Amino acid sequence: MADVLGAFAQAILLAVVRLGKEAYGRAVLTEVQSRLERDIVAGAVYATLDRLEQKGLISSTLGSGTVIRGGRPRRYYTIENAGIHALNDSRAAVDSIWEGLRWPLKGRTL
Amino acid sequence: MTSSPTDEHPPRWAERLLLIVLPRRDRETIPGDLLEEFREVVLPARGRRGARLWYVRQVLSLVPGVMLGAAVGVAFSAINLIVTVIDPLLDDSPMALLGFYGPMFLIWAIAGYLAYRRSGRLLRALTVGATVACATFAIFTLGVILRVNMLLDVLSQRDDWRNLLLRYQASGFGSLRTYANYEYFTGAPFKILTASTIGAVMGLMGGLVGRVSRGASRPLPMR
Repeated sequence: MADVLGAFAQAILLAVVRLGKEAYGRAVLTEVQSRLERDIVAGAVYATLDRLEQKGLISSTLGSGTVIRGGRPRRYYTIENAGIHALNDSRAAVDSIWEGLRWPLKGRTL
Repeated sequence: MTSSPTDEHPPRWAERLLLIVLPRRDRETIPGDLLEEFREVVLPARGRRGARLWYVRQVLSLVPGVMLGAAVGVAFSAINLIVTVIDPLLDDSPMALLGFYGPMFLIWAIAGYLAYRRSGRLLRALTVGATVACATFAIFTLGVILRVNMLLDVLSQRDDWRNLLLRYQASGFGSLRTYANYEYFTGAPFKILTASTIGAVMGLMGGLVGRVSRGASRPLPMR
């Protein structure tokens, strides 16, 4: 089994999958913030996108700019087969770890 | 007459800083993303001041080493405060100073080492070391000033405060607290500059270690 992705890397990859053709940096950031329900700084998202691209799990292409962006282009991300395999492996690993346990676990009462 | 969202701009210095720190391939796309979010979402939700603060925070998150340096600064400020509370009259002996600042310098060197392993460039190791050190000392200096204001009465009994007390008596300032704050604030830029220089050297040393050890292990993924 390949290396299991960290939770944040999984969140980024799944955001790229969910957003499909609209997966550009800002949209990924918004989607991840919404899923994780916390404020996330741009640096964390772009660093992870960059690392995932270096690993070949995603690829990117430049799109056109808009007026509100000052005419600057968007970088759209697409998941690659290696990314899909990595997500599937990560999910399988988590399922294996949890196998036989009922979720949510019941904590001890003090 | 109301202003259009496209009339609103983030702080110019932050936009310029962003262009300096970003790799060439991201110099259009990431500022575009931030500007779009700034104008469409953050500005209507938080107002002009809040939106500008948000933008600066995002830019700082994209400067390699700033967040690490700030975290190191907070940690060392807390240690400094705790040690002073436990033993406020303990003077700073050379060994105590080495024991305190040694780990800080080591962290700057490790940041340089990791930067080299990721980029393969010694210049990157040097700039990351300097940036981490600059952020560390900016926060640490604020922590020291906080410590001085919290524990002024007891700190002024320390032997290593004698020179400051002599300068205070000759200064014409009305209160020791005001004078101490004045000294610490006016001395801060020099201390931060000195720390940044040390950080650059430590970062370079870390980078050189990374270069020597590179053949022995697989490089980390590029950043």
